[in-house]
Amino acid sequence: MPEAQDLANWLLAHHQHKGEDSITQGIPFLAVLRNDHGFAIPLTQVRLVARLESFSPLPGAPPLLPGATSLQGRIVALLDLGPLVEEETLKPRVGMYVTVVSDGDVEAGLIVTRALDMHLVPDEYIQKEDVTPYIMGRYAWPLSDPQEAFDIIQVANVLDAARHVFK
Amino acid sequence: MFWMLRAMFLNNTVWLVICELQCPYSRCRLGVPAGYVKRVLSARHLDATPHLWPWDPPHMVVEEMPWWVEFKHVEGAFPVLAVHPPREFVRDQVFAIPPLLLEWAERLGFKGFALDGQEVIPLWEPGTQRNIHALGIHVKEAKEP
Repeated sequence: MPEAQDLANWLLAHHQHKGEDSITQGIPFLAVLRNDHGFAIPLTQVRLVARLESFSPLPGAPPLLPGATSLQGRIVALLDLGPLVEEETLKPRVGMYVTVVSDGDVEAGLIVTRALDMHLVPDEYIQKEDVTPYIMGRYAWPLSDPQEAFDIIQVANVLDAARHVFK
Repeated sequence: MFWMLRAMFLNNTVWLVICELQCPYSRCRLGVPAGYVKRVLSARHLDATPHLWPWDPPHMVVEEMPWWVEFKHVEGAFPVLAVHPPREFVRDQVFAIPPLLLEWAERLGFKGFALDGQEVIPLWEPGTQRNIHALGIHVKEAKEP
């Protein structure tokens, strides 16, 4: 298994010699920041990215489901990854970003601090040693400043955890 | 700032939009059908009214004037923060509960959502004793209104 740094070197070399447009092979991810933690979401499961214009907390809901918002005429449940990745909860604030992810007919708006960019990552450069039910791998991305490592979110399991949060 | 109850007309029912003080955010809003509400009291009537106080009083947002709602089948009054001046508006659309929230809705008795501008308002019917308990309201005797 290549080290994450290998991907950085490969991408840098690819970028320098062939230009950014030529990096077309790989799995597409949307890179986001949750506080200072980089996460990547498989692009095929991203429906929408929007700024959080308003939100309403839900009575009796756990920290994983801190509220709901209205996006393009739909009610979207907000989801905070914090409780699943053992990090401090992120209270929604206007100006944060919502990344609407889906798996089948279930969707949720992941609250993130910033939406960064799309990354194309060849599968062989994804580290898969330290996976958890909610993180399916990790890679390093050399073209962001500062260089970041990104944990790839296992969207189906995250949504499933939120659906059955009371069980 | 003076807080008042807001009423909305939705699906041939008048809903009161209230804000429950027990919420950790102190501003969770929910809509309850007016048919379940016995009366709404201002703070000045509190001394003469037995009311529920299941939480620690210092946690109350004392600078905001709470109103109190008595449900028809619930003993005592339930403190609420009312929002916006009273007004009525017509909405003929109730948004369904998204699949992700079905378990939360079933557990607590929420039937759908209304949209008022950008604000999402969960619609609650205190239909079962389990729902009422789950939301933190103590029930003496649960009856259909």
